[in-house]
Amino acid sequence: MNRRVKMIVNGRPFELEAEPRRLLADFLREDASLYGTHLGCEHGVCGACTVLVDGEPVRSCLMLAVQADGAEVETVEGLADDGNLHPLQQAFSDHHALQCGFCTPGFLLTALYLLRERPDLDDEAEIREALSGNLCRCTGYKNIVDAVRDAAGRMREIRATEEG
Amino acid sequence: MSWVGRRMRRREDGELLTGQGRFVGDLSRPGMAHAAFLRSPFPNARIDSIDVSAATAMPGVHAVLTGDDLPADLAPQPNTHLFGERETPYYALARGRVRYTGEPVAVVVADSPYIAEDARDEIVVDWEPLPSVGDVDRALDDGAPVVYDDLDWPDNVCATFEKEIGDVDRAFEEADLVVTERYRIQRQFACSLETRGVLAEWDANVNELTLWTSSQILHIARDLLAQVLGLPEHRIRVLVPRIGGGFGAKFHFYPEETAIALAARASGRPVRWVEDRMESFLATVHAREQRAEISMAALADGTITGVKGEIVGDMGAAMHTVGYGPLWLTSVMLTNVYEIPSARVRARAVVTNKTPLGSYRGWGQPQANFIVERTVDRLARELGIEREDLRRRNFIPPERLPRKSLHHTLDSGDYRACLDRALELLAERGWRQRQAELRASGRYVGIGISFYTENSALGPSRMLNEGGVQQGGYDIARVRVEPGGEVTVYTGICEMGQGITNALAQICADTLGIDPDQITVVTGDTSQVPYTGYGTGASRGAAVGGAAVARAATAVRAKVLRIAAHMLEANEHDLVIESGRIHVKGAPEPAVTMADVGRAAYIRAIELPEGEDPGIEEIRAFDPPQFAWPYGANIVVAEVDVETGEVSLLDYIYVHDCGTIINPTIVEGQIQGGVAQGIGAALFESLPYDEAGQPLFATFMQYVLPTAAELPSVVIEHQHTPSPNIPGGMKGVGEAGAIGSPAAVVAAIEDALSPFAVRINATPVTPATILELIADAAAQRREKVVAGA
Repeated sequence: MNRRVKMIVNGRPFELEAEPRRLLADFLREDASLYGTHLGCEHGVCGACTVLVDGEPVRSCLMLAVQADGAEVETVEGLADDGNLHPLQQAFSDHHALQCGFCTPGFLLTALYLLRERPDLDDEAEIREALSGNLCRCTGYKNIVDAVRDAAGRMREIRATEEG
Repeated sequence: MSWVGRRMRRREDGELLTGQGRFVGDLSRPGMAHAAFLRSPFPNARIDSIDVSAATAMPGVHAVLTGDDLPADLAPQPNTHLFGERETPYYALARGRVRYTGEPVAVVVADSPYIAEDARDEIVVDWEPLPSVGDVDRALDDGAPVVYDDLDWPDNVCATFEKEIGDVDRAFEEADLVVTERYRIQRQFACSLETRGVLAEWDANVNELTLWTSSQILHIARDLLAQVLGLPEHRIRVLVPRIGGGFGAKFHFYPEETAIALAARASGRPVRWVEDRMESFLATVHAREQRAEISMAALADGTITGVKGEIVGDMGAAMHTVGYGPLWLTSVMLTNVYEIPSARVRARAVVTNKTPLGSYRGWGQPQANFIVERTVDRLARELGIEREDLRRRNFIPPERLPRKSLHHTLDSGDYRACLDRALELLAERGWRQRQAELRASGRYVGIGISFYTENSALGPSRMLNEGGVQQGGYDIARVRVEPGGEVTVYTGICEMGQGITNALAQICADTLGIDPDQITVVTGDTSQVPYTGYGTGASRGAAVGGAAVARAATAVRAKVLRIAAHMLEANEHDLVIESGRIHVKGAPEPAVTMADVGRAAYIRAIELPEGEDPGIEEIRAFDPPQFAWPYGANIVVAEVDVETGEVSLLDYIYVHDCGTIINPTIVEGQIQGGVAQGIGAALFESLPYDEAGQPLFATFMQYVLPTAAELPSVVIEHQHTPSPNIPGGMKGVGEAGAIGSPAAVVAAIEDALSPFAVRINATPVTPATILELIADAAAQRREKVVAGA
């Protein structure tokens, strides 16, 4: 029996019928046409499908769409603002922190959550540990770590400018 | 100023960073259905019958195909690397017999992947399990189950390759020292984050097939599919969208590509299949697994005079697209960069009831490097010579390059200068002293060294064909000036994350004298791009694909200059193109732009010189006369926690030479990534089977990929010796990082554990392995003490 599911995705309302067993990832990709959320393992290890649900990082391959009913969801498509890359996205490009780009949306969302929680983050070992729930097979992670660290600095500067 | 050599941001980043990149799993067609495969749960079994009636009757199911439904004249899945092996025919779907767990048996087409999987679970197969073998040593025993008993094979040896140079027997007779070692390299696989995917659509009216596939071998996939289906090649259009990493595993032509094409024809709908991760562990080619015994003969001064190698490859259940190519390459790389006058190698490809073996970054070379470099270390220890000194003594010196080695001709470089610089960095970073200090404080810190070369820029077509490869080694490029003056490059090389479109744009920009942002690079569509001889692999995209682009762009440039000379009433030989403006050298005015020339070429033919054809488009091929051989030193500093067996990599130094570098940022990214995979191979990744060939892995909890927490930042330095074989001097670099890293990491661990005098000749070196080694070493010491008393 299908259930009606409502959620706010990247600030826009979505209301659709979904089978109770439908994964949140499939809902976002196939029903909301937001293909930027990628499925790399479907068993919660690789982190490619990470999205934020009510601000918390979630493996959208391990959550059912019906469980996100009423929630606010953020995906990679919501990061850029009016065509301007988010500082995280810009830093990823500047540091060559992506090669094939398949794992990238998951890293971006994980890092977004991380830097919201820890805007002061600067220590490489801490960043490495915090990103260790996401797998990348191309980069060897160095450039991702550098990008996240750089983005943290840029976001601090932006905040300082806005507050100042 | 040249564009080649510059750090440039990649053109595809914006798309990928905003979630707009489209991979096969993101594509859809009107009326598209989804597929799921039923796979063998047994390593070896006969299929007595399959009942699909319940599955077929389920609502939302459009078709169910089994081996019985395949066209009678369907050809087996082809192998393009024919090195004199016995044939191991296998089909899109198993026909009455399976030989490995995971072999595709049936495919269901339904409205959604959910329904397809539901229906798949309703298929009833009457299996008759047969005796099976999951270990290569056991497979070689008398009386072992014969994988191809139905084809009357006497044993499981699929092929034997032998090669000999120099007087090996004499070298070993006259040696002051002979060391013999045995090695075991575990089964691993490329494991790109994006699994494989296929979308097929038949146009029944004209009998044409369109296939979107996550493939590194655009035209080869098309041709092989045409061969299997009995269609002319031009009836099939293959498209490759974004690929989420390939690393060689997507260099193969898979049964699922054929099966999904047939499923689309049978169901009358476009059909998409995306491999799920668990499926990928069994259905995507595995790699690497080998046992080796090697002997080296040396004189007391450290001169290596001979090498004997016996390699056994566990090929799994069939020869996949590249046959036993990687195993062959291991065997002919056993002299590495050393001037060893005699060698005798034998490689045996042995079949077992496991997933077929195939390509993975390095293609047999990481194994060869591990075998040779670990043995060189052993030799150094026995001779009492420093590891680096033994290597220096045996390097082929720069003045003797190019030089024929065991099989190939190494082209150019200064190996000693490269190793010396890496050692200098080690010293600069204070590691010799820090190691001594840390050891004195009771910590186990070791330094490991390896030196590699890489068989890149594949390759001379004639040499490939002579060796049995049914593919060319050339590449073809087409370059066009558009009416607006922008330029489009068409290449058969596929973009899979390695950033090749950026490199090709930089090469084209230099040749034409325009900015790279004026250049569009088109990949991944057989209806648009020229034929690629070999596809995207063997570290050939930038070197061979790049040289082809340079040749086509050179021809385009000549025509642009002819037209501009006519427009400027100047001599074409006096003209230059600078940032898209064409003028007499040294006199910026008068000038015409690329847009003026484009307009003349397409719209105002009145401005063309008499007799000049309209349009500006040139197509050129490049077939390298020889391979190009990058090389480099890996130096690793590792610490071992002897209580837990955990290994920490404290530093990683990488000095290399890949000839002309097009974009240093991308090259460094390739190295970091390749090293990460080599570290994974050394420490974590393994696909173990039980004796009967049942897999002992199913998820990422067993197949452990390294994360950001385990990997070091690699310190990279470049040296620059152009390849004489490639116009532009490029050498490949895509695989390099993965080749020398396992040997260096393991050497560092062994050095760290030198107080225990352990020897590590197998990978992966897990914490459990280390604790066992330490326990064994302690036990042996006790025995010695007891014996002494």
